[in-house]
Amino acid sequence: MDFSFILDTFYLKTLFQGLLITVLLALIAVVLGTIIALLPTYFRLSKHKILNFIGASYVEIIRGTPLLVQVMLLYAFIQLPVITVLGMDFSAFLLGMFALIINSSAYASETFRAGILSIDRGQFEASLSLGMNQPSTMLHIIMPQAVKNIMPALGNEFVILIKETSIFMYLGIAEMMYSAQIIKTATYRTKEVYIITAILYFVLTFTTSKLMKKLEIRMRKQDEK
Amino acid sequence: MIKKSLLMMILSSILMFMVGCNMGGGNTFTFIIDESYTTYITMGTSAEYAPYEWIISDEDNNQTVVGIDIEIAKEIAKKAQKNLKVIHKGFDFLLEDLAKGRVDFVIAAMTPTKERAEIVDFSKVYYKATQVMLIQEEDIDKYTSIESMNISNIRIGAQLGSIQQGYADKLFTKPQKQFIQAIPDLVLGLQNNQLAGVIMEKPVAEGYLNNIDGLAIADFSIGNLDDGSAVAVKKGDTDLLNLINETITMLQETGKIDQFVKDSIILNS
Repeated sequence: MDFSFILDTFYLKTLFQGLLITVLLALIAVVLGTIIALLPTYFRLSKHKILNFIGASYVEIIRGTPLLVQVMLLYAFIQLPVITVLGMDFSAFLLGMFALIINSSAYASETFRAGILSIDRGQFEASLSLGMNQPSTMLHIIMPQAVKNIMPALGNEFVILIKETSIFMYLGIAEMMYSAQIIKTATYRTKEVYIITAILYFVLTFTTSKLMKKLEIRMRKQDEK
Repeated sequence: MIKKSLLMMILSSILMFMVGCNMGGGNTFTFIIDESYTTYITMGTSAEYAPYEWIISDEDNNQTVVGIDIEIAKEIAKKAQKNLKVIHKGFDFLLEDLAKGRVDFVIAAMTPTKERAEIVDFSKVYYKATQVMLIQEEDIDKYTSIESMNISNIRIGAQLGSIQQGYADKLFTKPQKQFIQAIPDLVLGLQNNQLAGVIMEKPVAEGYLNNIDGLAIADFSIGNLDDGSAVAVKKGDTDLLNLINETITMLQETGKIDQFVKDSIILNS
């Protein structure tokens, strides 16, 4: 085992840059995915049969196929010319990002649905009988309580997405596995490079889930007040 | 609080994005051939195949791509009077990218085969390389011919989607086979005794010999001696193809190709 390559500034820089892109990809995907997820959630909770069917199929199809397949399908079907932005093949980045956002939106919408359904139906009925209309019941009574159930699960989703981004190596997006691949080709130290990459991924996911735990505890405390 | 943290998230991601890019990351590499050229010609490659093409650091500690194929591409760009842009992607994406016009030509130590020639057009062969079997040094007396390796209790490897994969299937009918994208991962399997041998081109195998102890090239050759690497262009793009063929002829006549090979092997060891 020879780990001397981590002392080289070039390799260190390459790894660090891959780390940043990985976090960035996961962050954008979870934020935009969460916003987009509101639509399928609304569809799935609606009593309208067709809307319900559309929402359910969206979620089921995306959750039932691997992300790798989704990315490859998008890449094969959507034709974008090569646009270079800041030294990056932006068309590949855009498609990869798009696939990741869609994927994350399906998982997030299930989290939302579970969070909303976990609130006792009695609350809904009580607020309706007090004369509140349906949207404001949702906004002022159900959602504030549901968010506390949703947030920890969304945190988990973020951790999962950090790991999922590794497949973007194939599209030439410079995330952490891509950096690892550059280093292993240049140094011929395959085993060592993978060990370092695994450690970096672990540090990233572990700190994220610890932070999420903190947020969760803080929300609980607010509840008790 | 949620609003604040969301804002923080977005701000920090924009910041990280800018930092990430300023550090010279990305899979596109630009070579200015001449300041007076205004347009770019785009080459697709899979830069994990030293000494044909791989990524190292340049003087400013940024990533840059080097190798035999890159030198040839620079000559092609010079002839076309354009600057060069190199895009790095997985090997099995290259032909699709070319067929869809995402890149102008592909140089990736690619051997012209009948199947590939149905999707793209190939130039003449610019470099002939024999296929060899990389094995462990201790096995050099055990594996002396193709027959001695055509036994059922071993496993051999080759790069997924490569010409070597075809040879592994055709010539080695009895062993188990492993095909994956990255050659370094295959060599890792060889070192860990998971694989008995990995088929690759001779210059690539020599790169491993120079950098890893305990490996050897088996004493037999695989496939046609006429196999070589060629440049691929989009089907029907005869103008570019003629230009590329002229460049290759010029490089071969002046002996520049052999020089590129020598330089790249030295750079890689």
